[in-house]
Amino acid sequence: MYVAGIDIGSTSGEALILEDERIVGWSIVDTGYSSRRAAEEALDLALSHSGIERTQLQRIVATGYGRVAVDFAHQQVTEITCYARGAYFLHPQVQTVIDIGGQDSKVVAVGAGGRPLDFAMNDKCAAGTGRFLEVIARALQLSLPEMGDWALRAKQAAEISSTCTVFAESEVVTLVAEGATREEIVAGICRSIARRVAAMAARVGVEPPVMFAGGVARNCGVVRALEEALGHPLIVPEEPQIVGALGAALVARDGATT
Amino acid sequence: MKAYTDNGPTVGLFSSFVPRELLFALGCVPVRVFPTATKPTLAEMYLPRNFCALTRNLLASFLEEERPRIQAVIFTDDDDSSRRLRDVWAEYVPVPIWGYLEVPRTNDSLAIRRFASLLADLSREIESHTGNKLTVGHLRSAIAVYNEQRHLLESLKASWLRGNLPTLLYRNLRRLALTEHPQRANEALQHQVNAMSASMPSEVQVNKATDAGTRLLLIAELATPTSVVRQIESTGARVVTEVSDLDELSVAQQVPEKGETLEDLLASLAEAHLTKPPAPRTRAIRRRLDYLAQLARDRGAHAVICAYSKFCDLPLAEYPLLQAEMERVGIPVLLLELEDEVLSGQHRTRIEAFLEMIRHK
Repeated sequence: MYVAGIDIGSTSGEALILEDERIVGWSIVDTGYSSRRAAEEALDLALSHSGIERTQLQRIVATGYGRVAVDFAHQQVTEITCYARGAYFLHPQVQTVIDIGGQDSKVVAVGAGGRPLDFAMNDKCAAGTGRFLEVIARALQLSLPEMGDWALRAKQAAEISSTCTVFAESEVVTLVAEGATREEIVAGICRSIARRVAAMAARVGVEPPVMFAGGVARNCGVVRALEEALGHPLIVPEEPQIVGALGAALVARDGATT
Repeated sequence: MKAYTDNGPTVGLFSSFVPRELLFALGCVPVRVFPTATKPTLAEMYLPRNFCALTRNLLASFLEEERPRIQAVIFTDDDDSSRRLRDVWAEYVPVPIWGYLEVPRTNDSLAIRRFASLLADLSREIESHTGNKLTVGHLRSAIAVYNEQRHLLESLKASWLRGNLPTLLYRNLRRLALTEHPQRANEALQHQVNAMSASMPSEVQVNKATDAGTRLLLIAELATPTSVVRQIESTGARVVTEVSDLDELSVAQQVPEKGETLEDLLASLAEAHLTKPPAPRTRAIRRRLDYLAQLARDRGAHAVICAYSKFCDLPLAEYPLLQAEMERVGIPVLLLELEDEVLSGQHRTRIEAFLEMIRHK
């Protein structure tokens, strides 16, 4: 039995095909201007990677902020539930999952069977999200993928006092003018994100093992800063961006068998 | 006794502690003010952005339109926000303030006597504006009008709780009762009660399907935004009570109307308003927490959603205690901080995720 999970975030969309307990294919595409188009594109790509036809899918579940636009899905489920399910599937010992995506960040306490026990989300503010990194990367003329390595090379982190993306960008400009290195500034930015997410995580209560998922988990600078801020090592899956789509596929599988 | 006039000045109220009976007896039409601002940022000229969003929205509602319907307003000293709103209002809003009512934070006999005396002071102030004299007859009649309204609203609430009245319609009727001339509102409520009686299904026919879903207790200040209620009910969950000025925090019990003197009647009004279900402003926080936990149990609520205005100090300061109390009795709580009626994507996700979490339990 084949099922699909689709996770449409603000920056990227992912689709994943599951055959019972086995991941048979997945894809990541840019969300662009249309959540629905991104969902179609991600699903088609995942299907072609899997070598199966859409007609073979018994059920499709959509998640992520663009889930409501995926009108061809059988069900829409929030990313809170899906991240908990996906993280539990990958590491059944996981008790906490942190997701930092392009537009929001969230912390989910995971219970037995991948059931969400509690959660916290950021407000409608870019601080502590991937958008924050994007803005600063642009200001420093760096690409997103190289930011993590720059942060790890820093001997010390610059102090970024502002949690607001707009103000932090001005602060970065000031730091550049004062002679701070790019390494120090990037390390400071990673630490700023980590502190904000750690404060949010404290509202839920962080219990190890902790999984770090979402696109920002690819940034080794944020991973290290977050480990320091939480005081726990983080489990970063091989493909941190597909955890939500995996969770959605697991929900689809449950729905297809009931 | 007949009211002074059917079309006296419309007086806007910002608190459920001002007895509407008193104003109606003095020939006014008391209406509760709801925010209607389409440009809430207008208020930022006078109040900081991190000020109670409800207060900012109320101010903006009057700044962006003339509100010709409301000819005067009465303030209370409920919290810092209402005090600050009054200060700004006096300077910048061209609607006169006819009174400023202090409301005790306790409800012992001393507080009730003090409140009755403050109500007498307020009535003298209103008399000076309307030229109408407060009499025993007028106040008795006014109490009777609002008692009838309470009776009708309780009847509608019973229908709503049985599942015979949609939540949004029930809330609209409650809002109408707060914002329209009381006798006209009563006619509309009576019409709905009659319509329900005529089509009332027997107990066995009552639709219990929604009862299978998650049952929620809502807590808000003035009223939970309709967008929140819509979002909740669109998922199949059901609102089973709303602790806000719109519903449970209003005076629900009948106020004695048999007093022989004005003092007797004002004491009855004072007692009814100070002993109504406790608001966050009460000093007896234990009484409020016990009340909320009991209400949740009585209505069989599975969970609580607190829909508070962003930066609204009183309920937000109370929230950790409320959350701990509810968790103690096994009821999870979600906090939503809202700028206005519009729900952001994050708010929608929070509500849906919370309901998914409850269903998984």
